Formats: sequence, structure tokens, C-alpha cells
Amino acid sequence: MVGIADLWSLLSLQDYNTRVTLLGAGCLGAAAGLVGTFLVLRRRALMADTLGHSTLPGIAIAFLVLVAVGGSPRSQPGLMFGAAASACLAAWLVAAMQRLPQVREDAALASVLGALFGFGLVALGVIQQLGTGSAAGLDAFIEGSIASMSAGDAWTMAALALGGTIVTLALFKEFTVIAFDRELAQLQGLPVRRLEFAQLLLVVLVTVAGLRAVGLILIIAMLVIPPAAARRWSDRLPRVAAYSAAIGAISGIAGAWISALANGLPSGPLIVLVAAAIFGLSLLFGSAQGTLRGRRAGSAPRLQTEAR
Amino acid sequence: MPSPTSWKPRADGAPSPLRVRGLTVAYGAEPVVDDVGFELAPAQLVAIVGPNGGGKSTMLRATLGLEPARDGAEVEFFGRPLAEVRRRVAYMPQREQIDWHFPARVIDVVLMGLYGEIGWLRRLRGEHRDAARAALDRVGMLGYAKRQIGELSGGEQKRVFLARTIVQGAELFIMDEPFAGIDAVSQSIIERELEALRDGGATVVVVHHDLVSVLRTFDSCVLLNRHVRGTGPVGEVLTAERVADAYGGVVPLALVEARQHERFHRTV
Repeated sequence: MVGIADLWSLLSLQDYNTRVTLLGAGCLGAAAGLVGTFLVLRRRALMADTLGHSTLPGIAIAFLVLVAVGGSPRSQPGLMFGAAASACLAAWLVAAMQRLPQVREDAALASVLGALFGFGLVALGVIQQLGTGSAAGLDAFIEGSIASMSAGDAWTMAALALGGTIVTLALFKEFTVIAFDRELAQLQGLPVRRLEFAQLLLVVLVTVAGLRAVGLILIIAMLVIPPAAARRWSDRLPRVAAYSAAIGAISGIAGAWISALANGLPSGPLIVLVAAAIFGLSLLFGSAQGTLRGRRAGSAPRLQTEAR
Repeated sequence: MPSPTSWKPRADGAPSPLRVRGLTVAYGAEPVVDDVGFELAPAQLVAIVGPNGGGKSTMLRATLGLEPARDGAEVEFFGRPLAEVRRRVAYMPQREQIDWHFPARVIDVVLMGLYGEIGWLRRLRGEHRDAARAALDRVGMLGYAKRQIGELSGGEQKRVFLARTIVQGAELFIMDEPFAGIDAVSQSIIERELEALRDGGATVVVVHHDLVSVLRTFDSCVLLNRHVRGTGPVGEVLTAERVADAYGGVVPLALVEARQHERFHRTV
């Protein structure tokens, strides 16, 4: 348990490590909310789930390689590289399967998720049998563990998240057209496939950046829940995206903070629970069209529309 | 009234807005569109007519690269491949292809028509908003500029997409069923705007089901059922024999009546 003095130091954020970790979690939440907005609009949410789960074999193999070459098996960049590589492999497998006749996207996504996550679990079991000691640290990647993050890890997470945010903002206009009317984008001469590939890489980036804080199972929730909640508050995409980033950031900071206070509770589920609570409130109080409040507010002009 | 126009390329040598040769689209063994060819004259209202499943939408979409055409097809816009003249061509999709819950207002949808010319890393400016508002005004939707698009009726949605197409300032407009499922008000507004575009020198190609409306409003047409069954001025193409040929032996009664009406007025 935490002593009174420790509790105070956590609440008042005196500890540098805690401050940096919360900052990192906030940046990650914002990036996930922003990238996730377009993912949800393009109805590609399940892709994020597949990419998330598919990082596990990459992490496990990177761990084994690091052990074999005598490096530190906890090396963050090494494990992140492995995670990104196997997420990209998963994306490629999904695309390849969809080119086969009679394979639909959802079936392809679920098959790749199952196969790669299964492979990852087996690899994890092998690592535990090897008994190299530090295998326990890998659990942090599955359910997220803010507590085990160093300030350096948090800075890395913040930097990756910031990079993803900048790229998404720079391509906001193009991502908007692709999401709303892909064919218009095509006719305007936009490189639609390359832009879609960029969106995929952004999802991989957020997933890999969020491995330590949120974990690979729940990262999909950080990409999907904030935009779903934000949509209840506005009918305009730039606002939806901004609210989504804000909800993601608040969830990241609050969840990480609670995790730091409740010593030992995994941060991933806590961050997601905060986001889910905000989603619940948005369902009740949101003001966009079609929401409980928006419907009442919008009913009069709607009738007028039909009367014209 | 339809003005009979020459179907040949104009004498001044200006290239046709759309010239198609040997266009075939097939998803299975049977082609949906088979060896289609035609050439449009400038400044015309052109209807693509034919029975359901006759390949009208597919054919137009294939010219734009939105459906896969078999090798060997020749499609030229103003004498060039589409990639070189994108700004001169605008396309209006069917409403079924759009997610009407998308977080966008009416004005946002029209503005998207300008994204191509605004370019990478640049923001919308006041002139773009002015252009979008002017386009909405033309289709009588300016008062709805701030509505979420899902709030509109079918005809209003069509008019917003017409505004998005108009705002692109193209010289060739390709529209997939702009008249499907709309009320009389929207129908007359859209007809008026298509005529205005034509009178401004643009060519407007429209997939259309209502043969009577084609006879009344359009200059020329392409009669299509897998193959081209006739091209030219509407009065020449939409004869009972040709329509029966294209529609598998059936001539819509409304067409017969419309033509009789026309003949009656001509003799009086």
C-alpha cells in the first residue's frame, strides 16, 4: 500500500517520473483519438484490433533475438521494432487474403488476428519455459503497465504520439475526402492507396507507442471509444476530431494517474475505463444530431425540411 | 426543345469532351458493357438511357477509371487521358454510395469538391467558402448550409451533390442518376441547373431513366443495353423501334404517349 507521504507526492505530481509518464499517456491518448477518428469513419476499427493483437509474436521474437545476441531483452526500441514489424505483416496478410475470392474482410481480419495472437501466446510460453528471468516484463505489453515505465520510455511514447498527431493534422483534408467519398478523392487525383497505407502506418504507430501504457489487447479501445464519444457532441469533422483527441488525452492522463495511485493495477484497463465513462456521459448528454438532446433540439427544423 | 446537332466532331477541330472506343467491362465471363464507343459533341445535355442492368452507370464509371475496363479501351477527355484534365471533369455519384451519418454539414460537402484544387497542406480560404455558398445558392440550398447532411430529404441531398459538382467549375459533368427518387421541386431545379451548365458551354452527361423527361429536356442521348443501340439527337434515337430493341421488345407506354403528343403539336 501507499503511505500518506507517497500518496501526496503522487497527487501533487512532485515525482518527475510520474509527471513525464502522465504527459506521455496524455499525448498517446490524443494521438489515438485523432488517428482513430478516421479509422472509425472508414469503418476500419477491427483492423486496429488485428494490428494490436498481431504485435505479440513480433514482441516475443524480438525478445528471443535480443536474448540470443546477448542484448538487454527489455530493450524498448528492439521490442517496439518487433511489434511494428509483425503488425505490418498482419496488415499485409489481411490484404493478401482479401484478394482471394470469397474471403471477406471481417473473416480475413479475424483469421489473421487469431493466427498471429495464437502464435504470440505460444512464443510467450516458450520464453517462460526458457526461464531467462525477465520474461515477466512482457506482461506489461499485454495489459499495459505505466508503473514499469521509465521517464525515457514515456518520452519515447510522447514523441511517437506527437509525430502521429502532426502527420494526421497535415493530411486532415485528404483523410477527410477519402473517408467521406473515396471516389471523389480518386477523381481529384489524390494518391488514395498511398494515403490509406499512411493511415494504416499511423494505426501501427499508435499501437506500438501505446504498448507499454495501454497494452496490445485494449489499444483498439483507445482508437475507437474517443471518436465514438466525440461524435455525440458535434456534426463537424474538425470538431469531432478535436474532441476525440481531448477525450483520448483526458482518458490517458486520468487512467495513468489512477494506476499510479492504485499501486499495481494495470494502466491499460484503467485508461480504457475512463474513456468508456466519458462515452457513457456523451451518450446521455451529447448535443449532436440524433443524440438524446440533439433529437429534441433538431425536431422542429426537421419537420420544416420535409414541409418544403 | 431538342436541337438536332451534328454527331460528328466539330469542324473547328476542338476535341470532343468525351470520346470512347472499344470499352468493355466484365466481372464474370459475360461483359456488362461490351465494345462500347461514342463521341460527345460540346455544349450538350446528353442522356445515357437503357434498361436496368444495361450497363449505363458501369459504362460511365469505367470511363472515369472507377470500374475496371478491359485492355484495349480508348477513353479520351478533351482529346487527352483523364489524368491530364482532371480539373475539367466533374462526377456526381449516386446517393447510395454515401454515408449520410458522416459528421459533415452541407457546406462542408460542397467544399470537398474544391479540395483537389486547394492542394496539399493548404487551408480553406474565404474565396472557397464564397464559391461553395454560390453553388448552394444555385441549387436553392443556401439556407441549409449549416445542416448535417443526414437531415436532408433525398432530393435535397441530390441538390447538395449537384452543388459539389458545379463548384468544381468543370467543362464536362458526368452524373449518375441525379433524378432518381426525388420530388418535383428538386427535379425542376436540377433540370434548370443542368440546362444552365449546358448554356454556359459545358457538356453534361446524365444517366436517366425517364424517357419522357429525356425527350423534353435533353439534346442527345446514348441508348445502351450492353452494346450501344443508338446515339444522336434524342428525337432520332428514341424511336419506338430502337427503344423496343434496347428494352427487349417493350416500349414504355409513357414514351409512346409523349411522342404522340409531340407529333400532335407538330401537326397543329
